[in-house]
Amino acid sequence: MLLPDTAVAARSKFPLGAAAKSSSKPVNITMWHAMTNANLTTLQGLTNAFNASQSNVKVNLVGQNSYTDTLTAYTTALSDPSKLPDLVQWETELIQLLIDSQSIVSVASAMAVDHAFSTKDFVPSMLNFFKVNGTQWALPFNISCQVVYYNETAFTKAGLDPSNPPTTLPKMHAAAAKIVQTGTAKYGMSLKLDNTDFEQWMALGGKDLINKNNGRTGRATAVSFDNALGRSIFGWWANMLKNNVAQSTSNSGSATYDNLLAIGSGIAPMTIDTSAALGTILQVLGSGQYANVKLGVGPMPWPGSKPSAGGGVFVGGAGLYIVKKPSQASQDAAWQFIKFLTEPASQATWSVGTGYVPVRKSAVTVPSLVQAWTAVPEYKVAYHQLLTSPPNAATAGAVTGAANELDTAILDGLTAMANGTPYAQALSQAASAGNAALSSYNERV
Amino acid sequence: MQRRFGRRVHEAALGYLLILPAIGAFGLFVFYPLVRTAYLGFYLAPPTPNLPSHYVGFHQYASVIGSSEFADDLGHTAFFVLLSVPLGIVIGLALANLAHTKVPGIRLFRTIYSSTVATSTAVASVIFFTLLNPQIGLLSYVFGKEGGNGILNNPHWALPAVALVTIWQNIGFTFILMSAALQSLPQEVLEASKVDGASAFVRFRQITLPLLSPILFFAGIIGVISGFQAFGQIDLLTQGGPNHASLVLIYDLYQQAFQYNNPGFAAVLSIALFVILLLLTFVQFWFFQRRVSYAND
Amino acid sequence: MPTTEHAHRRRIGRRVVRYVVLIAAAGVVLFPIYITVVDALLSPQQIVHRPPILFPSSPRWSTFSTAYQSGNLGIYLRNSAIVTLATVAFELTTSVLAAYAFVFLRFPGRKILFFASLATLMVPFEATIIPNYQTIDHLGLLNTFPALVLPFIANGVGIFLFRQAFLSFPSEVRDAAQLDGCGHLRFLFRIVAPINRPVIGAFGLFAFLSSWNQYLWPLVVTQTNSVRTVQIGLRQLAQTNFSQFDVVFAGTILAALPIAILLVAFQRQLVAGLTAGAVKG
Repeated sequence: MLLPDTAVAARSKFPLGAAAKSSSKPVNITMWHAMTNANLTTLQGLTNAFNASQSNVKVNLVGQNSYTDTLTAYTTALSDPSKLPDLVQWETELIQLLIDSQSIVSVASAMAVDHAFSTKDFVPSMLNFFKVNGTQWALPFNISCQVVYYNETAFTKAGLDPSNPPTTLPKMHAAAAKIVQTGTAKYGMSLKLDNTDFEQWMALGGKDLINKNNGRTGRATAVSFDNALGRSIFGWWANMLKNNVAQSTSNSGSATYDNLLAIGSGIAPMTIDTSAALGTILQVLGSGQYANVKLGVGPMPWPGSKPSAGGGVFVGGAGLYIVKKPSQASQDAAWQFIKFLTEPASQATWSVGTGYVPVRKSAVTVPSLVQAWTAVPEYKVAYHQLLTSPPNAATAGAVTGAANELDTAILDGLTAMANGTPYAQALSQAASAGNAALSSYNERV
Repeated sequence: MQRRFGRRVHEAALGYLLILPAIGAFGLFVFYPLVRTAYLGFYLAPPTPNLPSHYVGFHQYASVIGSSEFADDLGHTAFFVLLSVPLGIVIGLALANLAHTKVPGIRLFRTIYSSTVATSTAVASVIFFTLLNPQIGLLSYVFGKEGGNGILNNPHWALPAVALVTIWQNIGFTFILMSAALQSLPQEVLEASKVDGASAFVRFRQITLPLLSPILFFAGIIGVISGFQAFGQIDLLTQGGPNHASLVLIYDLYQQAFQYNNPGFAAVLSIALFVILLLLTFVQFWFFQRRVSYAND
Repeated sequence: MPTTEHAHRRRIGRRVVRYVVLIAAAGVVLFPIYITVVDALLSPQQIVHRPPILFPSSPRWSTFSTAYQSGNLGIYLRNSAIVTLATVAFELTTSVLAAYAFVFLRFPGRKILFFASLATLMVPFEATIIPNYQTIDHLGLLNTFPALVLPFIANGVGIFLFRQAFLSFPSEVRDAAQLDGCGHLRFLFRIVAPINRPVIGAFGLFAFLSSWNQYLWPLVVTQTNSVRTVQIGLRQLAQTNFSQFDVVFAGTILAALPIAILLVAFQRQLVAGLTAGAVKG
């Protein structure tokens, strides 16, 4: 059984420099990741550059194809720790599960001895996500958030200002209604049945999703979204569907892109999705298949009729974690690679190649990124949203080991509402299912 | 005397030796696991397997059996079984009856109706998964339902669709079974009823059906038992979705054990499934004994 | 029976109706299989073409080769063959040996042990899958052929069937052989087994089909193509190549072909096996 990290930290310092002092160099380490296609190519390029730039550490990438597969492989490997990687790219919301597995070394313990390293340049909201109960467990790596995608051509046709997408939920309803009214499209927008948007709107409204400060000052024991804000979000969603100004699209399997395809096909010229999809969307549009689409990107709208105090988006994507392997050299090696991947220059390269937003503020001055963002200013929307997100518990995002079950509870509530259940009831159902998920997780830990 | 004793020992030793592989395998892979599954149900599994589990006695059994998730699983399983088994038998019987004639070319039709016996669950499910694809599936086109999310993503139609695929896959087996049953009926009785001038429907209902009832019951029970164990088609067509609409007991078991790292929860589902199937098997034996005794009267 | 013109025409009418229904039913049953074969020979663009193309004017036979090689069906079929043949061999051997012992040998606990063997029929695989997975994992055998075969080296159905068959073996022959000094094993392999070839064959076929069509256990214990059996391999093909519909359909045919051939070759035994115990009289 592995000891809790605090006990280890109290007894021994992070082995900084162990890789350089190792008797068998280069120290070979394995990183598990979930990147594919263009993201994989960019990651491989960065890894090759790191390996070539020094002789202490050699990183070997092992792709798991998806965050779910990484989770499965990692938890299986926990029964046989020799099969664990040295470094893992781990989905943001599963952070508590990884902490509870007691198999990682916090980057805080590395930073405690690595005085040359500073987190001042990191975008606060991105750094904050990975801080639980005062400990910085990981560093952000590939970050995204939800943005509004819309067809500027369709906006113009409907008499809406194409450079000013709706900035509040009431305005979004009005815009969607206008699109339908003017006959521009069958629906004003597609609303993907996905818990993420609901959670983001709670954060934008400045309210915690679950108790104990979103699970950051202690294990959450109950949800806290069955309140006025939660009801107003669910109510808005229900109205959009009831008034037929929005269509529901699915989140399962290949149907998860239906909301984006609907923009292309003209059925619904607006939707909300992750900024990480921007690169792929631009690629598809670039092929000329959808000549009638001029893509616009806007920030997530505020849930109320005006911006909420203390409200902001929280991050999606993944962070980098050091796995607690017996070898001190490999722990240090993992830390060295994490530092490299989060350097401004690396982040600029990463951002240009993938569309993820850089986690370092100074990365935006790197020429390659400046160039990319001048050519495609749409990339800046997500970054700006995250940059201006005020640091507090609500915008840090919820952490719980039962993250997947909580997501399912919210999704079930949304689905019930979309299928006709009164929205207040659907929200309560989601809340009680969420509470059950939290308490059964806490029982098991 | 001593030689006979020696031979008896030799015979017993040989006996044990010959049954050893089978009994050993049963012990290791059937009896021990059954007991251990029940035992696993007494422990709350930790979120990751390297952490300790908590003993909770019957608490987990009670909370799982009493949960709405379990009730939903049972509901979906029952719905699936009630839809696929009777309909499957009726279709198989109808086809067998249809083909139970001596018209020219009937052999070809009988071969066609038996053909699905060559399809495994994976084969049938992959074929229908592609045919039901909302964008490019031929069946979606034929039923005018192209575009949208598709029938497998529709919370109301996902499970019925899986049931229909199951029925199709079983047509061959059911047809062969029913055909053999029809052929085994006493022909004199059927001939006699024809002479009596009874219409085809009446004949079927009053004479054929009662004579077939043992085999119909057998097919029903076998169908129900295997219906409770139907897994491959759920895994390939819907994975229990959308939103648990097609989550049957055995698929929940699989997800809890192998995807959600919760073997404690899964163990309770395992035992529940075992008890249900055990009851069904006893029902089968009990009814079968009664039928046999009636038939012998 | 009056053979007026009227009755004659009614009879022909009924026959026409019967043929119409026969053909319609055959169409419904055969349609998915027909489309599978046709689409395996079309290109993906032809498959999505509307109105649908229902006959391949220039069939692409190379798709089968693609499915076999880059679609890995060749490997999957090989793996299934290895696992199934090994499983059947084991099940036949252990069942014959055990049944012989239960019939011809006396030893303490014989009755209890036989009922224990029967009792295994009451235990569905799902009730034991979690610990079986853990056992295989602890033995370090995950993702290996032994993992696929070991849990199934014995089969209660086989023991039951063979014991039934052996019980009806005339005891005079047994006594005569014993007097001739024929030992048990010799008796088993030279006399008992050969005479019971039909039931052994029928069970062999049944065991073959069961093993070949297994889904849940191979899904859970295999992780790489090197040991994937054809059912899970087909799943892998369908999920990773879902836009290459022609290859998926071709893979489906390749996966079903061995069983189809086997069933055609052994159809008499198949019917007998499927209906054994179900139809009385």
